[in-house]
Amino acid sequence: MGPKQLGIWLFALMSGIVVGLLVRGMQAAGAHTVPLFGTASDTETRQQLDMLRSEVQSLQQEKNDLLRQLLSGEISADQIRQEMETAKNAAGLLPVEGPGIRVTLGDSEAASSSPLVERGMVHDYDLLFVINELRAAGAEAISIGAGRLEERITGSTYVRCTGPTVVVNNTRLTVPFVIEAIGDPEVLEQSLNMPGGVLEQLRLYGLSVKLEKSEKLKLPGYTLPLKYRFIDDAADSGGSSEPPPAAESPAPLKQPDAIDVKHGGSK
Amino acid sequence: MGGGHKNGLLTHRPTQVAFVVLFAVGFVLGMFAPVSPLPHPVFLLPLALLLLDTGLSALIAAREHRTFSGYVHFVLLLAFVTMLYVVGAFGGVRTEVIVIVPLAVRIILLLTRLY
Repeated sequence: MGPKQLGIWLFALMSGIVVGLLVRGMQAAGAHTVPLFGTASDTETRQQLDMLRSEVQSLQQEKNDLLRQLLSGEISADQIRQEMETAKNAAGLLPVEGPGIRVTLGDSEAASSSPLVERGMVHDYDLLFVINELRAAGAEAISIGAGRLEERITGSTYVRCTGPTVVVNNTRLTVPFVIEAIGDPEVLEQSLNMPGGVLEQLRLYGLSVKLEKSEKLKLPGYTLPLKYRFIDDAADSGGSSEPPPAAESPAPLKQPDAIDVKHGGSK
Repeated sequence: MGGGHKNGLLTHRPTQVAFVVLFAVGFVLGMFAPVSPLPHPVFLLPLALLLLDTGLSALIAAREHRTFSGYVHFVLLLAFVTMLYVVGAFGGVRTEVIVIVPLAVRIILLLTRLY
């Protein structure tokens, strides 16, 4: 057997092996629905496609679950709407109306030569005492101010003296301060007027205090934009290794000269 | 197919029988090869086309009574196909287009010389 013949036989054997492997590979490709020809980029694309398909499947499952809950009465659009309104009311975002009381606080009418002249003015802590007492008495919604500049008290509201005025929700208010609260008028009135209570103390300082019950009060909703930079839903963050979402830039605060002035009088 | 001699062996009957038998043996070996190290068809098909090209070229050379080196021819084609692979990888051209189509065209041209 010469080298030429050996070469031919080697060629025949090799050709047979290659063709056999090729047929086998094509069979395997057909069985696994893998394209006959493919490059690395095709493989990556196929993996992404598989991932998207599984995501679609997961979302379809979620949709079916929600649809089943909706049809079976476990959850309804009205329920969702009701829960959303409850949450908005709790946050003070919606204008509300109902029975309650109106407290009007003014500065002392006494002569300014009194040594307690400083205490004869309504301060931010006086308003906070009243607000706290109203909350303790079960007030469901509270506002400060009157007319256009009425401000709703929410979880993020601050009440702070700035010179002769008091700033609430970035709105500058001056005397008289009108505090309206929706709740049981009798309970609210008794709570504020109890012996040694907040209104008795304010009267002792000589402040002007007027309290009246009302069958129908209308309180505005909180209007400033709500921006949260640091808080996150604790249920979602449990066990998650993902970083928190990028913090939004906080809403620019109004400059003092941009704060609305309710009345021209000084405190 | 050996180096530099006239090719008379391919027309020799016992050699043809041995060729067919060895091809069949190789085919069976290939068919029953383990799956895991199986090369992808994108590599096997050009290799099969290279071997077919070499065989056809050897056959044509034998018919035309001229010298032919199968080894040199195969290595030359292999280098050419490798170059096409590299061009395809860097140029983003699909392998089917840049490798298999030229080989298929070449084999068709070789086949036309047989009749």
